[in-house]
Amino acid sequence: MSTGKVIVITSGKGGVGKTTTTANIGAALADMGKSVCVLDMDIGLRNLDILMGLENRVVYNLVDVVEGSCKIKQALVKDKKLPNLCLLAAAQTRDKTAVNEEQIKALIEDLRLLFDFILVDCPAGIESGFQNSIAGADIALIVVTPEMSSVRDADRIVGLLEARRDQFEGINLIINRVRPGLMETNQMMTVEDIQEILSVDLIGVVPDDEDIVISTNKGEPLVLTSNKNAGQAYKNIASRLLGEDVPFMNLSKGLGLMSKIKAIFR
Amino acid sequence: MPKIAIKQNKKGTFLDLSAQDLRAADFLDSLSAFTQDSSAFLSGSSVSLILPNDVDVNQIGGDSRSIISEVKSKLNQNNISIKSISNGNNETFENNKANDAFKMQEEVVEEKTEKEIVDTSTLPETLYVEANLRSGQLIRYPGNVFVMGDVNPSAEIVAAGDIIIWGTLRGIAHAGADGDTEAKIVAMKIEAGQLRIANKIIEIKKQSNNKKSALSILTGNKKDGSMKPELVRIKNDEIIIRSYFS
Repeated sequence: MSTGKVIVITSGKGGVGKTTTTANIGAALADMGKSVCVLDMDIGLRNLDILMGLENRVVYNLVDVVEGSCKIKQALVKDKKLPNLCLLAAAQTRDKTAVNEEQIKALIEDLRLLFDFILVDCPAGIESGFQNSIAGADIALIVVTPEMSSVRDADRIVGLLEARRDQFEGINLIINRVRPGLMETNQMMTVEDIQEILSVDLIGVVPDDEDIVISTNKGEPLVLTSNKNAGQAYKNIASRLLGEDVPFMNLSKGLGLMSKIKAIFR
Repeated sequence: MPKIAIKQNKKGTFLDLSAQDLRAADFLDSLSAFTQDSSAFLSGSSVSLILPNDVDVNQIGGDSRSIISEVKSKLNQNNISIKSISNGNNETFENNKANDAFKMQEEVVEEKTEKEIVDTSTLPETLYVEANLRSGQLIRYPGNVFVMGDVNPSAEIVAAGDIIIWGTLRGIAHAGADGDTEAKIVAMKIEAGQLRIANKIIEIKKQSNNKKSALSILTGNKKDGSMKPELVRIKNDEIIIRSYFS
């Protein structure tokens, strides 16, 4: 009996890239030959189907499965390119109270038997949507952007996860939308600053990348088309989840003389 | 109306109503406002009441009896219980702890004339916390608090005694929360935007470089970035920060 790993992608704050991260890591793991299910837990505000380009194929959703209106396999939407990648969409016409922790745990136990990895896209906030999302998870990936508001919310999440430490085999940090130029001139929180506050193991640093916007609009995760910047960073995270020791990308831009001088006077 | 005061000594916490007119119409309102303001610290504790001299505690009845039961219910609403009731002359205990009532009374009268002293030797054992305090986590403790770890932004410690942090303080620390102006905060590094001791609050204006410690911001010392323990206390009625070793 195979038992898949359940990874919850969470952040506390909204708009930091949880869904993008879920889609890309999911696609990267599938591209590496693993069977993967991405699960959208943002009931009422679903987005993951759009990022995967599968919005027109969704028939049944998570709430249908939980309520017994359909079988799990009927609700799983197969990816266009990767046959071993599936989406279980959230219900858009319902809200977070449509499901409870016990139901999600049961659903996740069923999915464990079908996939190597189950990636749970957690909604923003710390209320029932969050509690449901972490209910059956083994690993938590916390997405944070280099802003104080995001770091504070992530810190709250780490606190909540640490309170259930026995449940998690790993709590890891992904720093998203990093702009090396601004970090080097001290105009943005640096990777070290964030790690110092959160003191959680870092699993990835993803640079800010225009291509993410383009790939989101196309409905195709960037990892499938790009080997640089954010695309490569997400692939590295997937490799690290598989236990490979991948060095962190060198994001340094190499400052020009003028910026160096400016940095001194800042 | 004169102020209601909290006092603390070896025997515990006292709510001093001796200057109050218990029969005044607005007395209960001001008491209720006061307990709400101080509920942060008093909530969950048990206090001794000091009543005006003209209220005979031994013959509490009629008027004063009902006033006292009103007082009791106001305090109970804020989760404060009454340990004993006394005035300048005499004392009764609510829960049969009347052994050394007279001794205690003497001490109370004595200390009312002195500065309000918190005898730290009588505070409960220091609370030892081995963890990073994260955003949204709160520690309230009627004694000293020692944290082996960092106190992160928007985490909060409210302590009656001192707060010592073996790590970086970025959140809110309130030492001497019941009014002890001798209380202090010590941390390996202070990056907090606000510090509180007793009833004083100081804001530390954030600078563009968020790595600067509060000490280096206040002293304009640009080089400071290393771990040098910093001490916060009240001096001349103002909160000051200085290097622990200077």
